[in-house]
Amino acid sequence: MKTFMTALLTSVAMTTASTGFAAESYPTQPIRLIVPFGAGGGTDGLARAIQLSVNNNNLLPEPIVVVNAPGAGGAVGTRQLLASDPDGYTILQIHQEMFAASAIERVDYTPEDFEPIIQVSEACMFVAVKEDSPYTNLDAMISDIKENPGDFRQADDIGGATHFPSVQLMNAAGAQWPIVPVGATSARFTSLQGGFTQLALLSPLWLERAAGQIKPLAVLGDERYDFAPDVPTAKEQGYDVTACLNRRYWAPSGTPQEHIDVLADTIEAAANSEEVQNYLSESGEVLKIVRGEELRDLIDGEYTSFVEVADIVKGSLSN
Amino acid sequence: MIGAYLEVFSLSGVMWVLIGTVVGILIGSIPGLSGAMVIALTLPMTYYMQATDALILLVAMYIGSTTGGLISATLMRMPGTESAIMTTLDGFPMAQRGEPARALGLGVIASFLGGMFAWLVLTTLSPLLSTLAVRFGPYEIFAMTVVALTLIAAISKGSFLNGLLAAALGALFALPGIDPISGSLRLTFGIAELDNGFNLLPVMLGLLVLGQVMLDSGTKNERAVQKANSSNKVTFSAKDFKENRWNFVRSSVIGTWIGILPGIGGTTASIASYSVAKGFSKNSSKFGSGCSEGIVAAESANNAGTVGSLVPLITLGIPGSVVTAILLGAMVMHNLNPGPLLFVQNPGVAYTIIAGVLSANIIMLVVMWFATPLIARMMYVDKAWLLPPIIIFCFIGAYSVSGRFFDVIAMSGFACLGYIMARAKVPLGPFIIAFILTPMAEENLRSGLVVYGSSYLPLLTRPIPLFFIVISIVTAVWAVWSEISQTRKIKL
Repeated sequence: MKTFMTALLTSVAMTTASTGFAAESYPTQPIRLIVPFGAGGGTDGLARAIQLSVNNNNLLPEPIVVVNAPGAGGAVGTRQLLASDPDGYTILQIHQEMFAASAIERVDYTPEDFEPIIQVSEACMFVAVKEDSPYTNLDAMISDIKENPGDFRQADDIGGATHFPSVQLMNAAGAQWPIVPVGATSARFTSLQGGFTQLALLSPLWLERAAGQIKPLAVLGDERYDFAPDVPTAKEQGYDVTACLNRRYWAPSGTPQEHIDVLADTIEAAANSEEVQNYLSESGEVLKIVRGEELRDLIDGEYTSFVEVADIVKGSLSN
Repeated sequence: MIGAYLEVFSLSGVMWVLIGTVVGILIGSIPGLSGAMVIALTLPMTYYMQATDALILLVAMYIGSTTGGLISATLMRMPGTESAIMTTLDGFPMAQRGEPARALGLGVIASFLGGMFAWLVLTTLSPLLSTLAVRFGPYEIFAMTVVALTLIAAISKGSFLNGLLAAALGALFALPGIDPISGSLRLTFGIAELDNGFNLLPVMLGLLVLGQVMLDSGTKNERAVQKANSSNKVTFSAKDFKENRWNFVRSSVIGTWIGILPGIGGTTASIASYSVAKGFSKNSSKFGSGCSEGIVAAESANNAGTVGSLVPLITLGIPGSVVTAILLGAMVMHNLNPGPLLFVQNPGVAYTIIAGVLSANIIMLVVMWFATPLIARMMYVDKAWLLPPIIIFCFIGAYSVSGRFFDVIAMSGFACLGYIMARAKVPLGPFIIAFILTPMAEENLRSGLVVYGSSYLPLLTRPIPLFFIVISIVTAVWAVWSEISQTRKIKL
């Protein structure tokens, strides 16, 4: 209740402080923001924080309305974007789960069929083993896997966004290990604790949440975590693999560029507000704004790296 | 722990529980609007509430909606919630013969006692269970779902083959979608909308509610006739209570036990408890014609099961139902660690949920005590006024799952299937149970095969899976045996 009041007061204060909005022809009606996952998840959390910031700070003359359309690993909601008019009134927020579904050809669309608006955040995963595991770095773990293949399993989500970097890690290591389909990060953590699996990619938030129960071997990002400067990146250890969930906003292909620009400006302003900053730091994610040509290039590069290992992902059955 | 109770029973704590319980009862009593839906809608609103306030609000809604389900089950023969299916069997006939207040009163008392018993178990055994929690791997969970699936055989006594047929159909409809082990699509026949399979809510609404609306539309309106002898019947009678005292205890134990099994929950609990009560009763032939024992068995067990399902949620992080899945989401959203370590890392939160259950049970009893005589009058509202809004609520419910028309079409299809099954005397319970449990069994079995290098042997060498496998074999053999001996008796 207290937090709610604080948020309310802050937003009132910010509304009063914000400069007047110059009226434009777009938007003239509410903008529907599709969240292709259920209420309560990480995608839903950021979308609602952005929505709150846009609406409370009068960043747009019309409100943003969040609609949950969960199902099929984000495909149900993504299809709704694909089917909607490119008029700037329907947008979607999703991370690389979209690329994953396309790369293994579970869906008939690709990132090319959509217009990226802006990337807001980045959450780089880390390689986690159980606290009492004998390994202290990737080299030790991988040489042990090579000596004793068959004793080692990874908890992950088959065909999901973290399965692809997992395969990239296998390729970089020149080793193979079975993936046990357990699902989301909380389930991976439980599986690790129960001793049913030995390795999992976890989101940064778990480093703190599961402190004392897991051991981080490597950060799968370009840089070390600010809050855990002792954990080296995989790249530093000689494995050029990154696994970051990048939360991005998308519009249907053919949406007018000026609408894309208005949306990108609005979402960027919202992302820099206190509400969203607080949300991101509580969720262990970092603000990372990427727009325009740079964003398109980033997406093309990521998607290509997914497609490159898609055959292995599709074929990686048990033992 | 005491701190958690003080917080829940503080003024603001009681306020949240009261809001949650009343909203839950209202929503639960409307077929089409489910507890799951209102809890999902409330979730974003709780975003800026304190985690503990949010959780007790949602838990109170969960308990309220389970109780609310008995209202429409009793007055309209339509389960307002899934777990009230068994309540329709005796609640409706009793209400129909002019005792709606007594039927509702029995259901409310049974719900309260069942909930309190399960709360006691939750309080005393949850920490113990949580230390065992991490040892529950894929094979353990698989073996538990097998136990629940064999219960289908037990509850289908008398119409054994029909029960198996319904279960097979339920399992079949659960198959399309994303294959859990390869991530690829299966049995979607090129229909893009099917790539998430069939959602539970449209299936349930179609099969159990719209199907009943179709059956009702074809029958004569008998409501107004009974009005004469309705007036001042006793709501809670001491005689009913005394006659059912062992039934209360037995049904609560069964309900709690089944509720604790992860992924099973209140519906199966009430079905099992009803079958057992019928087996124990001296007047088992009266079951299904409006006897107090049937109502008590179903309602004690489903509320006990509802509370019991919080045990695997809190200790294992395993959602036992649609609602507990959303509660799990709420915990994740509030950056709590649902699962084995909740008691270690956030003991305050775990105890707040437990205290919230106690508070919600008490408030539910108080609210229903005063509301029951008023609600009972609804029995005499013409069906023509009730059915159209129910149809509308069902359509809203199905559409709201993912905001697409496909789910509405699917619901309509399942309504026809439910109508045909009901006409053909094929029970709907086994269909729903199999529909929910089959994917869970499959995922865990196949995960287990990856974990144990394609070996089935750990199912027999690990103690917990072995225990459950033995139970399920005994249940299955007993069910088949009693079916055979019954058939023989009839022949002789």
